[in-house]
Amino acid sequence: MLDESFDFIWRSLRRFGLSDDRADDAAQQVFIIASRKLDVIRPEAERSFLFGTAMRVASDMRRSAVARREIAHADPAGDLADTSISPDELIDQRRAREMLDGVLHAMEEDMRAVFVLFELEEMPTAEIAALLAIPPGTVASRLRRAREEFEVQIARIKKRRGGDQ
Amino acid sequence: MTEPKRLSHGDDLGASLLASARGDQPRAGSRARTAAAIGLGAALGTAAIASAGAAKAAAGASIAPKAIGAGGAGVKVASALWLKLLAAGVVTMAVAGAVAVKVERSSHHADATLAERTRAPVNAATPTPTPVAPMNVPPESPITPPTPEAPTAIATPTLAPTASPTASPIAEPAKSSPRATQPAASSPPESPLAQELRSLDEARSALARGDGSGALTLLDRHDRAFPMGPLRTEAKMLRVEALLARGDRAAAKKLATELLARDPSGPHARRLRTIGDGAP
Repeated sequence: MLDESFDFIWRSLRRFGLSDDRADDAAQQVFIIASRKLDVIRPEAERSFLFGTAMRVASDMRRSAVARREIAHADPAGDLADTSISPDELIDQRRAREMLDGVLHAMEEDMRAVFVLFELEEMPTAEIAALLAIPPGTVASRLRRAREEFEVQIARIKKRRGGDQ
Repeated sequence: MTEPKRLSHGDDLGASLLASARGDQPRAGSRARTAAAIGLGAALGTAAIASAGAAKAAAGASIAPKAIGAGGAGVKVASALWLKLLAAGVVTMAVAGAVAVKVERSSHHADATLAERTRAPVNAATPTPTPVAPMNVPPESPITPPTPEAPTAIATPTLAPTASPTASPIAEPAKSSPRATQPAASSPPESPLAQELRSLDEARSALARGDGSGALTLLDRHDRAFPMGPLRTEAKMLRVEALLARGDRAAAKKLATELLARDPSGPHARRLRTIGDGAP
């Protein structure tokens, strides 16, 4: 389980808005919780359980981080706007990653999960439906809404950065 | 339903941002630390710690000693899944532990070095743990095919090397380390998660003894101490079982129904549904 899913869970935690360090901590929590519940997790539901637990742990951690003012992106795209780099320029990788954090942060959790799985994990929608135990139609509608939000945030960044006028 | 085109395949700002996440990956050592932490979970859930030296060393920094015997209602280590997990995790730790006696502990450098040295065995050992055994494991910690007892014997003395500041429940190494004889004051403080685990295990132990009322008292204390703990679902589940053990079926049923409504597809859903329907 650890070998098969650790990287996936870690990436998911990172994409649910945790820093690298916190993703480490959170991944540990997820697998500790899973190891203590092995007797109730059906083997075929292992990944679903891990992912669901990861969402919950990430959400808890974000909440406590916000309480401690550790999250840099409480205002999505806000503090990213005053950069002098034009949107047409190649964006520095790290900066881009921070911006993506901000954009993802703006999404509701359910939307974000589908968005991350589809756009970043490049998982087929049927697999997402199975993983989240939701109907394919729900995956499609969440993805649609997440993309709308994504476009809104991208437009917002572009506007604030003074490009694409 | 046709698959929508992925945004990351475009060439605009959005695609650039999405592409930036391609490099997301855990750092070296991250997985090894988690493996060590899971080993700790195994020590908590199972019945015995084989090495007295390990238990003694653990007393300073870890929750293991109080958890001995807590296995009753705890993790059932029989499933194939569990064995699979241990193949990945515990063997890692056995190797790491063997390495650790030669490695200075606790510094980031040592941690990183260890992670590097641990990495290869993790992958190599996954299909079957036994090939690792002849390497350099202390005789006190025999590696056998993962039976329910084996993980604990292996895991406990070998947890320390992969400890990170966030994994403080992990025990100090027991043997061959001059520092292991130092008093517990030099041990890192127990992490919040370790405290939560320990608290929950006390309730679990009470329940395993059939002491539903005692378990409920401990769970009340637990809920006050860890209202937002990551194991709170497990605490609620234990409460349901404790209510049943005390014979308070109505309260158990009510709580089960509430929990089920909150998370109808969670890992405990089947059990909760059974209780909610009035079965034992």
